Amino acid sequence: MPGEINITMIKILLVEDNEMNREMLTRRLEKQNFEVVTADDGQQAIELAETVSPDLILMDMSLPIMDGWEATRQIKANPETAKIPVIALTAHAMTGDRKKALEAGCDEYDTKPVDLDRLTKKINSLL
Amino acid sequence: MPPNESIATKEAPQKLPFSIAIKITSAILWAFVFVSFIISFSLQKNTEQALEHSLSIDADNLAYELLTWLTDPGAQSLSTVNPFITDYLKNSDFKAIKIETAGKTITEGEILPEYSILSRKLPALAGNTNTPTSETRITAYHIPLKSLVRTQRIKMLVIIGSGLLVFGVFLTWLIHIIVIRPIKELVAATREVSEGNRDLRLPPVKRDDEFGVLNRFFNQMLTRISSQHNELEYALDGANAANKAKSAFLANMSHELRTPLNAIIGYSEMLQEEASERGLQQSVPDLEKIYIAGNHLLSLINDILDISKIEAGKMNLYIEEFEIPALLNEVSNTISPLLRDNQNTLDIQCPDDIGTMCSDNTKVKQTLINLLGNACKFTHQGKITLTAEKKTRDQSEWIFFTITDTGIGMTTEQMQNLFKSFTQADVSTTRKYGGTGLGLTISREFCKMMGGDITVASNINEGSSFTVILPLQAEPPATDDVSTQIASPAHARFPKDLSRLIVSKERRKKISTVLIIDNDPTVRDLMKRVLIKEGFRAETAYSGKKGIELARELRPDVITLDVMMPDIDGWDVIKTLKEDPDLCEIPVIILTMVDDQKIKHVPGVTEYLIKPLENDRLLAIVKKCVRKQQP
Repeated sequence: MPGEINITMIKILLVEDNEMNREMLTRRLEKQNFEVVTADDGQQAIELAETVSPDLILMDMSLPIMDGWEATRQIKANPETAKIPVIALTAHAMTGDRKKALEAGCDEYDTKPVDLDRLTKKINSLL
Repeated sequence: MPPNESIATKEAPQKLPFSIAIKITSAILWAFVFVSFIISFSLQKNTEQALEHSLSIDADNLAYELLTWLTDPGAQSLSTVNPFITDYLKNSDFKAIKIETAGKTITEGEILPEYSILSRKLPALAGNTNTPTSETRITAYHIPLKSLVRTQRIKMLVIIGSGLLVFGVFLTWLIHIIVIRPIKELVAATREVSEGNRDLRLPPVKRDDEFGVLNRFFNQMLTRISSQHNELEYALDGANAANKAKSAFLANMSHELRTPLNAIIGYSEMLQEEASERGLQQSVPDLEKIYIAGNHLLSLINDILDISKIEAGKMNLYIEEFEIPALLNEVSNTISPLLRDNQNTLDIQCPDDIGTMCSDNTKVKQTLINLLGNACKFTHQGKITLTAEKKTRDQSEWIFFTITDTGIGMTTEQMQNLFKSFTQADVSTTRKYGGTGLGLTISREFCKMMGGDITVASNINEGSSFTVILPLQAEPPATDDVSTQIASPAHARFPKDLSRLIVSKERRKKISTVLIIDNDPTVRDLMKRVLIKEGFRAETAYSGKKGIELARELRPDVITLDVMMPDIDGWDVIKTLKEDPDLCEIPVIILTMVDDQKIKHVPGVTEYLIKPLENDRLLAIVKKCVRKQQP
């Protein structure tokens, strides 16, 4: 299933401040044949969204410097990056984040820790 | 609060001390009036007798004087008696006198019919030329005794009354000084203390009586109250600080714990895949154990966080409309690994046309997963049934989710402890089955927040049945979501969130709202997505009736309306909207299958769109309508 779609190497921008989680998710996504670019904070995410033009963004919401909500809003406000689908990743604690994420302009929403099967389905549905 | 101000603003209670003074004074006065009446009545009889006697003597004297006057050798004749009588009348109680002798009558003074009479006779005197030869009769007229007595009594009453009045005023003044004034001071002080002035003390009085003692003990009591209040305030500050620290700690910990857990769960899952790929089959079960334990730990952390949020009143509701079959499908997917563990089967019974409900999707899901998880845990090779049905009770619609298992069941005692925090059916359950014992408490609290509840029925060794009862339309929470979110521990760590959240709310206020009324969930979702992406606020209603309700509540800038709906069709909805003065201005976009220009001329229709929808066209029309609405 992923093999068929990922022949063209889909590029994902992963925004996550925790190094271990970033590395783990990168490896797991790469195993699914995605090309992964990473950013540590919201500011970097906005810059990378414009420069590398990813096919999809996975955005952690609690980030240093600029959080995921604001970064998403800015990405969606920029006509060059507005079309890139954004999947919000938040912790369970923040119930109601789904609604908040959609209002911030996110296209999908998932909770951490990531269930890779579920996440891959969501990624593929948005591409 | 400044004490003077508070007293000045409250008129009513001030009457109290005066009323006591008035009561005492009037009691004294009434007593005096009563006494003076008794005195005057008891004197009346004596007065009457005395008066009668004195008048009778007066009459005797008159007769005697007249006789002396007539027998006096130098006396004038009877015809000159008038001046003498006139003189006499001036100094007596008699009002008129009549003398009759030898057919001759002399009258002095005016005779009124009501006058009483006293008569005396003078014998005929011989030998004196001046004297009448026949018998002389003297009649004296005077005011009746009764009237005389009455006048006398009134005089007496006035004198006694005014004396008593002076005495009464003096007595009242004395009572005021001795009793009323200290009471008034005490009342004022008590009121001030009750209004929160804890530093107030009465000025000490040099009195040994009851008021002196009262003053002393009152001050003692005030000192006691203020010191206790200070202790309480101190304790409350401590408790608040501790509670804040607890919330912050929990929020921090849950975040901090989750991050390493993420890695544990993620890496163990990844390693499982890699181990099986590389043929390291004996490592796979061990890695699976790490993965399962990690997930278990995560659910425990989530439970503890949930319960502490509920206890702190910081759990928020996010009401949205969702399809019930979709929810059940999601729940059954989540629960399927647990079903396999104990070889249970799940049977879902849900009418196809059950439709949607308005509630907190996440919390309903969490509740059902929790109950199904419990059913899986306590049932082996059995059958678990999940039924969903709509019922009308007390004129409102409810959803009943019933989860029945064929597991170990519970005794009555076990059921009583079921919904208490950190308590499972009994202690051995925790040892045997694990868990925090928070799941049911959380689920029940969630249901209560959404306006429902959970009930349980069970028989030992036969199985249990839990019923989740929820209103079809949950009431949105009364609190302002922005302020509660700021207060929530999850955000407490990021002070910058505060300003951002407020800004975002202000920004949202200027955003145009579109109300989508459509019974097709896919159309609703699609339109909502498209509009939200474009910066609109989109709200949805699944029926015409609900749409009108929402329109009244939200006052949207634009309404999109499906013509074909089961309960009220689109045309009736338009009619209702246009009849409502608050809603008639809102532009309405009709969604229809038929392309007919005539639709545009139906009264109340602003624009129309043809299904299947084109996103660009939808946005263009909505924007046009919004511009019309806000020039």
